[in-house]
Amino acid sequence: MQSIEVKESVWNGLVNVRIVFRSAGGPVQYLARVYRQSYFAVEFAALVEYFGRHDKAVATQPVWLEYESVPIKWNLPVGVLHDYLHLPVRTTSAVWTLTLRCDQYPRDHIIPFIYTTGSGTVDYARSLQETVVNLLKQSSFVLNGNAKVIMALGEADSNAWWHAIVAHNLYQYERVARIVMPSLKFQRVPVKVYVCGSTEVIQAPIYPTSASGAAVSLGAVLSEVLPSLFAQGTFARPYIQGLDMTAWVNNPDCGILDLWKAFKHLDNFLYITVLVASGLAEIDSRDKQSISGS
Amino acid sequence: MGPITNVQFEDYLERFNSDLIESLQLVQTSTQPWSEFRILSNYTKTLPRKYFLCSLKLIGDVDLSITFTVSYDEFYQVPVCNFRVNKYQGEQEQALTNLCEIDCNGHLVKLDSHPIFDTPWFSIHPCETLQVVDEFMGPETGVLEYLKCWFGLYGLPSVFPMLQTRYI
Repeated sequence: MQSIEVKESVWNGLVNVRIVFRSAGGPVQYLARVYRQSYFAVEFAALVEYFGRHDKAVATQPVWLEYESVPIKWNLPVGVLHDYLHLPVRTTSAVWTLTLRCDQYPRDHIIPFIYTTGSGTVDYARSLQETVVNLLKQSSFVLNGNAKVIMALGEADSNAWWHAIVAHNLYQYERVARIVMPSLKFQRVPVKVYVCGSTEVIQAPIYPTSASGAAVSLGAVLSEVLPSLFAQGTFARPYIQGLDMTAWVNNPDCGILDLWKAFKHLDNFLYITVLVASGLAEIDSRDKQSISGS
Repeated sequence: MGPITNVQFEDYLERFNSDLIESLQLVQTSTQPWSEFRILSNYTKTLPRKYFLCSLKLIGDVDLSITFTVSYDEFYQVPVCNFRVNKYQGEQEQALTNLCEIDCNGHLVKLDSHPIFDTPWFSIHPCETLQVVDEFMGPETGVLEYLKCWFGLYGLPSVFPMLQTRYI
C-alpha cells in the first residue's frame, strides 16, 4: 500500500474540468486538468485573469464555482469535491463541467475571501493558506495530541510547504512533511466522512489499533460512524481518492492507518465519500450501459 | 479532569441546554443598547452527532439576532460554540457574515466551517480549549459543571459579554 507508485499515482491524480462563465457576450469556457490533491482556489488567479478579459467584474468581485447550482467549497480538496458531488450523477463524460460566478457571493454556504492584495484585488491565496494551516493544526492535534509541530514550523519551511502545495511539487512537499510528522506512531488517525446527498460532515478521529492490538479496518470505522449504512450489510459504497474501496472494507491486511498513509490529502486528512444505495443503482446501470455500448 | 468524551457530551447535552436557557440573562449596563432578549427557538437534534441550536433576539434601537449551536468537536475533543449574527433595522435584515472576523475579549472569532453543517459560521478556534478548561477543573468535577465552565470561557458570553449565565 505504501509503494512509491501508489504515492505518485495519488499525487498525480487529475480531474478534467470545463469551467463556464456566462458573460454579457455569451458563455465563455476554460478547460483545465486540476490535481485531485489540490484546491480550486489555487486556480482562481488564473481563472480571474482569463475570464476578466470578458467581464471586468470577475477581477473585482470574489469568484466562486458552482456545480448544478451548488456552490463549491474552495476549502475542500478538488478530489473530495469531485467524489462527493460528481460521483452520484456521473455521466459517461470524463469532463466535469462547473460554472464560475462573481455576482452575489453565497456567504451562507462557502467561506468568504476576506483579504485583498496591494492592488485591491481579492487575495485568494492568503485565505486558502490560512485555511490549510488551520486544517493542518486540526489534523496534527488528532495525530499527535497537540498542534505544536505546526505552530513551531519556521517561516522558511512554512513558505516552502505552501509553495510546494501551489506548485504541486512532491519532493518539496515531502521534505517539510517529514518535519511535521517526524514519527509514524500516531495517537489517532484524522478522517472525515461525507455522505453523498447529505450536507453534514462526520468528523472521525480513529484509534488505529483495537484493544487487542489488531489494525482497525475501514469496515470497522464505517460501522461505527454510519451504523445504519454499514453495520448490517452493504447499503452503501465507500470511495477514497475516487476509488471504490468496497473490496478493502474488511481486508485484514490493510488497516485505516495504511489507508491514511496511502491516500491522505495535503491537509493530512483521509477523506471517505460514501455513496448510498439509490445512487449506486444508478451508477451500476450506467456502467452496464457503458460496457454493453462499448 | 481531562477531556470529556462525545458520549458524555451527548448524555448531558439536554440537561445543559435546559439549565443554560433558564439561567441566560442580559446584563444591563449604560453602554449596551439592548433592553431585553427573547428566545426565538431552541432545540436539540442528532445528525448523527447530537447538538443544540438556539436562536435569540436582542431588542433595542437596533435589534440583533444571534443563532448559536453547541456541538462536540471530535478532533479537538471539546465542545464548540458556533454562531451567526443578523442585524435588523426596521424591516431590513442584514447578516453580519461580511465582518468575517471579530476580535472579542482577546478571542479571535473567525468564519470557519461548522463541525457538523460544514458551512461558514463564526467560531472561536478550539485548539487551546482542552488545556484552558482543564486548568479550571478539579479531579471530581462532573460533566455538567465542565460544560457550564466551558460555556463561560468559550461559549456565547465570551463573545457577547452582555449575555451571561447565572447558574443556581
